[in-house]
Amino acid sequence: MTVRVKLGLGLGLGLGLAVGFAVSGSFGVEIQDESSRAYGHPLPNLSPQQTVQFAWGDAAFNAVFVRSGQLNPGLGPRFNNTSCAGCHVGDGRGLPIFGDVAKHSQGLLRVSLPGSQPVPGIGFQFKDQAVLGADPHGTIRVKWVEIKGQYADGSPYRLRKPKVIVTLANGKPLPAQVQTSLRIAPPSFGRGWLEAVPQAEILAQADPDDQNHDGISGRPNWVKDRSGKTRLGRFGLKANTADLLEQTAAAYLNDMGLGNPVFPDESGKVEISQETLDAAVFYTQTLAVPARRNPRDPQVKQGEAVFAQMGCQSCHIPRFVTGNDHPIAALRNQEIHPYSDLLLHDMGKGLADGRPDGEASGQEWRTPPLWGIGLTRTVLGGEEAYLHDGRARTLEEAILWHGGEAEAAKEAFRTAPKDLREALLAFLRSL
Amino acid sequence: MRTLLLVVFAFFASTHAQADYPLAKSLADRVILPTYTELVTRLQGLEGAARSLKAKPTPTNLEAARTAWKTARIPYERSEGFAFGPIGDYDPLLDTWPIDREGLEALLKGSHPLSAAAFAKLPPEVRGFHAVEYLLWGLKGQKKAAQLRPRELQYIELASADMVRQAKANLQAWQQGFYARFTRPSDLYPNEAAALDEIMRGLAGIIAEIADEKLGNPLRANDPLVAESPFSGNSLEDYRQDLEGARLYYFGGQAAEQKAGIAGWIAAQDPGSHTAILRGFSLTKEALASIPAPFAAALQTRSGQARIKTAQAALQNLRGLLESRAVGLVRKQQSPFDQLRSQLRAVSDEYIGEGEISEALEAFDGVHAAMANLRPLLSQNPQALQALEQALRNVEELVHSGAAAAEVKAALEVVTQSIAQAEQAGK
Repeated sequence: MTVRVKLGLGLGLGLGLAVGFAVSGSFGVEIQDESSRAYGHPLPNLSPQQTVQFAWGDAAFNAVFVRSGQLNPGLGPRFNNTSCAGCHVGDGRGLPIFGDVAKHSQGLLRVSLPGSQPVPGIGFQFKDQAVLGADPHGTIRVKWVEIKGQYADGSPYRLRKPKVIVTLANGKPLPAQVQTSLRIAPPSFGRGWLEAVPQAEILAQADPDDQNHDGISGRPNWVKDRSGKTRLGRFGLKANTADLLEQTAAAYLNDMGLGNPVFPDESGKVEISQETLDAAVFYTQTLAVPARRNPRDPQVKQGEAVFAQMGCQSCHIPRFVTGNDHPIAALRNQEIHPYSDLLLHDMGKGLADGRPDGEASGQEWRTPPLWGIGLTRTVLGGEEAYLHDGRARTLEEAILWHGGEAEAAKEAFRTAPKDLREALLAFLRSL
Repeated sequence: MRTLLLVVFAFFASTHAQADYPLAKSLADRVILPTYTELVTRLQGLEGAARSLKAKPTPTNLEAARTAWKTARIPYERSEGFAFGPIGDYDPLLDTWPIDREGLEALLKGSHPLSAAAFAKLPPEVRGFHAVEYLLWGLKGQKKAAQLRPRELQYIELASADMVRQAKANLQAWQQGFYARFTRPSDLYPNEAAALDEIMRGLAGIIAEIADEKLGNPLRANDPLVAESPFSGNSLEDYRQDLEGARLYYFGGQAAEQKAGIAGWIAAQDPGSHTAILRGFSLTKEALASIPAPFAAALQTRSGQARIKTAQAALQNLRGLLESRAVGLVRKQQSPFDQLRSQLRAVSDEYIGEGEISEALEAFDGVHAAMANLRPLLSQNPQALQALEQALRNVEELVHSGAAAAEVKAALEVVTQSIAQAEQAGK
């Protein structure tokens, strides 16, 4: 694909909306947009009626909730943010912002007692915001601790690690036995495609006992869904949720304090309609992935080779083909490039949160997809934040935090000459 | 291998001249910064009116404050088509909708200190345009000056002063950093296509937002209090100013006949699309104008609802036109010189990078298309044009004959120089 062809596609997409073409393969279904809105486009192969549904979902995703009144009532009283878009900035990720006067909190703190038990009075999620006049669970302050490191060639780098300081509403700290996990909101686009990847394809990548002796295991997180059925977890930073309906409904309840038909609030109240929930779910299922920039650039191509050589793609699996049974036809039989295996990996002590979640241990995290990651800075308006808690300020830092199963890949990067490191980063920025 | 790559890198590096992005710069200079400057001025007007109202809460002063609010609302709505960059940090404090009416009422009835410092800690749901609007008009728009309580008057003044602060900070953030990042190669917009996408996607986005959210939400809920600016009855005027802002943006802040901005470019590239888009703008404007005011009443009648739906359809049509025609055309605006460079890069990637002769030859279609855009720019400089055409012919012949990569690379370097010279000459 050359620049010339991509220009043609830019024109084609609009026409595609009208005629609803169905193209298999990433270039047919990706969006040519390098702007801050790059993550917010519908799949081009939706039907006209589905495009309308997407627009409703877009409105639902942007809707700001308040405690009462005609429009979007039911917020809180405790919450992390007031809208989906408040954390998933531009349909992408959030920053590790807590208690900001304009933006509320774009991250959150999961809490539990040993044995995956809820914390009395709080539950599993700490809500550091509340409607005016009510008390939040407390405040979250993040102190960043700098860590110095060095590449094999002697050039220095700096990483930072969060130290979370929680103050409860009554002024006391969290009891010492409470396990915590600081999180930022992950991106929302491309999720429908992940939902449509056949389970067998994901399980085929799993190697829990590392029988091929490559140092990489990869475990599925088997989770109980809302009806108590054991299913493969795909969503969430530890893959603890099986589908986007549950993911979205849980976010409404836990992040915004909005009881909904799937998860009513603790008093059984339902504050958003099935219609609103469905619209938001459909939206997350049909947000497209932006097209790559300059995939044929020689440095980018070199970086792609380096990505494979260093073993990154043992977990960041470049390609899947979706199955043919997703309820949304547009998601079926698509070749996609998520750069993820959707499996859990032990990422070492450095990244551990020490808080087990389903079958995921305190050191395990789900491989995050890398598609679209090169536009992060543009979408966030000049900042970047990677990894589960947003500690990495650049892609380079994110790589350098890898440990555990990814230790060898990280070391390959750390000891590589500068031009190869630059090439790898150029490749990531092209995604 | 390493050496070859390095040479190729040098070639690519030189293809990216660090020039300004002309369309981004002209829109920032002529539309974006003037609109945000106007917003500051008009919000200062609102602050002044709020101060007078606090000093003397007379019906005349209330009316003056309401007028000042409506006046300040105009530049804000007009800016919604370019709501990227710093405004993301300030929009929540200026324009959160809906507001937390219950929280605001409780706050005003209580004893929460009302100082600038205390106000600065309040959440966005009780600040900005709609909080002030609610206090100036009341829930049903029928508030009398005599009903204004002292704490309300104080709050209106504080909130207006805070809006001035936010608008100033936004303007400053544009002037002191974002302007440079938007109008030339930067971490946010590494190439012109990215800046052009930002312009066009925002333009299409506001048109869609008027249809889907601003008109769509209240229509679906069948409730006027769901519409933006319901207390002042200003909803329709808001939407008209959204559209007017988009129109001014499209014309680059110039009169339609000047053929400037996005419009000028599209008119030159594809007059048919330009005409269709112009027609789309005027049909949309008419459709919005034909919704009878106030919006609250229009929502209650069958004929009003029909007109809202007609406006939605017109807006969707305009959005479709912009997305299917304008986005791609404007993307091509990457200066014709840069276009040519990226097309040559495609040739080079195929031939030197991949060794694909037939695909490299195919990539010449793009080179020829780029040259067609470029020729008119060099009509005054036939020598520069001739040198460039000759250099391109050389490369094409070499590719055709399957020449060695090194030879093609050398010929491409000659082209690079010819482009640079032609670019100088064309200025």
